[in-house]
Amino acid sequence: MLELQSCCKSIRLPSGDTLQLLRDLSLKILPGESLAILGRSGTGKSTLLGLLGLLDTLDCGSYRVDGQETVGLCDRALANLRGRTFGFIYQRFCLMSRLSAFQNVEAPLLHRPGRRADRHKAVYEALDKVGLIERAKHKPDQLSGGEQQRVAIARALVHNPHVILADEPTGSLDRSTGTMILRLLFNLVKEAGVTLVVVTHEPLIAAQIERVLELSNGALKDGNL
Amino acid sequence: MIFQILIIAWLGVRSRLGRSILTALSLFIGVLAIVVIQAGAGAAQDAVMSNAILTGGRAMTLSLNVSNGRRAFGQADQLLSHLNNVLAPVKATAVMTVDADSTLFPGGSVEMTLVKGDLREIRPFPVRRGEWIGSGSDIVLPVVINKATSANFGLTTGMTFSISPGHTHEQVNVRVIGVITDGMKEPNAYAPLDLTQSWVKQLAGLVSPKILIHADSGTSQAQLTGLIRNEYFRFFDTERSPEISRIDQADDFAQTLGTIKLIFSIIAGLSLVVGAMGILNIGLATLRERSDELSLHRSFGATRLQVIAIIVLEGQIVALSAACIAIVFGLFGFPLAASFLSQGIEVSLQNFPYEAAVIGVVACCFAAFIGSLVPAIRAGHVPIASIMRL
Repeated sequence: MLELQSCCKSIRLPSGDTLQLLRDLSLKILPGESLAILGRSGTGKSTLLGLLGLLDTLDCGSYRVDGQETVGLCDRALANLRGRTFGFIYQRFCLMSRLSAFQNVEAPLLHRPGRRADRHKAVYEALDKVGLIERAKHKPDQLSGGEQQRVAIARALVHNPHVILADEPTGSLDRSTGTMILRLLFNLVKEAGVTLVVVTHEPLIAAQIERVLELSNGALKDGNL
Repeated sequence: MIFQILIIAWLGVRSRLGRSILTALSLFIGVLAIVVIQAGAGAAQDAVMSNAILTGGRAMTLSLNVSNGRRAFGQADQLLSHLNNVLAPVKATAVMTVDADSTLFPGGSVEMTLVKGDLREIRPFPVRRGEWIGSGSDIVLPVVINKATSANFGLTTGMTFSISPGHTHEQVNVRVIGVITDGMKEPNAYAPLDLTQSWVKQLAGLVSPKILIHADSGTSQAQLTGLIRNEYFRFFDTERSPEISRIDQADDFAQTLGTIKLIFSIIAGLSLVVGAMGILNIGLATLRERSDELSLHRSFGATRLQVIAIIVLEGQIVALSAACIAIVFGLFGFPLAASFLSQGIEVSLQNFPYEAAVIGVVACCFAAFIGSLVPAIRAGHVPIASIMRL
């Protein structure tokens, strides 16, 4: 379970001014739940996702991951919790351009102990789930946008995280590819029984997810359409 | 975990192969330079030092000229015995030599040196064939010739013939008992002074006997000179100061070679510094490009320290590869270079400087560590959240 309480976050703009993105925000996400966070560009959706994924730190408030308070944890503990709990899917895929699809999917597994054979088995299984086993040796620039995002989904799931955090997962894809990717993502998440948090600015995507919250003026409100 | 980090670092090096090779190139040159300089300096030192020792004597060798006169040989002989007795506590050795000048051998003129005592204590001639002068008979004088005499006149051990000693009208029967390397290019020969008494008598008044004194390390030139001078005055009961001069050049050569080696080592070190700067430059220049990749690793669970380790290990992989290739080049190139450079002087081809190779590898890894440390620390502080804004 993820539990944010009375959290706030501001960022410093290049001009030197401070922009308050999140104000006294509280949020509880239950295990296995699917949640969409809807909002216009610049409202702080990605920042919220970064906070949830322990990529960023709170200015104030509290954040518990599976009951463990994360505020004040050291870098090592945060890294350990982050790697064990979360899988990330980004709008621009964020694949390592010089590595093959196989190596990209293998990357999260390199940060935890395990035998090479087990690692390779897990990578092939993940690539098989997204239908890209034949493209394992291809580099990102040899793959289409949809294929790249499928590799990113395989990478997010390969280490069996509890929570998948997806930041505009179809933002760089055409509508039909985006729909196909979302369907694949929902199926895999359902199959794995993990929590899914999707950030999007498209109401049509949010509509496909059971719980929708809208981020506006630094606060969340019920956004079910 | 270190193994996993090593895999990630290896993937990083392999995925930027061209850049890694270019970075490795300057480190390769640096290590090769260290190995070559050490090898070259070692070989040159061996060659030059051994030559200097053979011709001038080991470090701290003094020459005392006993003034030529009818009684000079007898006095020098007695002084030699006396000096060997009094110099024993300072571990010094004295021998007497007489440069008997041109002696006619079959084939040409040879510079003949008559010796009393073991000259090889001071000038450690390697014996190439046969043996060094020892005892002999009155009928046949045993002589040792140098390589030039052997080569120029076709003489070798066991040969017996007559020679015409310089300043005499005699014919002396000799047998070659050994061939030595004495560091001289001119034909030379050595014979025991004790077996050439009639010859020596005819030389009296024409040449000065010399006493060579060598002291082991620990005795200064001033100490040794003072000691010899005192004994000389005591022995001869004279006020005339003896001619004492230092004849070895070992220290001078060692100092010159040391300076040359230092200069070249600094140049080799500079090329490693250039290599380190290259790693630093490339590391900093590519940090922005790599920040997304590093943020990804952080999102997968890497700590700051692990990200730092990845960058440092990448540098170490490049450095070690460069150093290993340089050493392989050195191993195969050294005998070739040595055989090419050794024409005219003797260079040992077997003495590959393994210590220098180890120093090269350590210096190379250190240079790479220094060069990659700043980019690594910066990489460790790349904000992970920046990946959300790509």
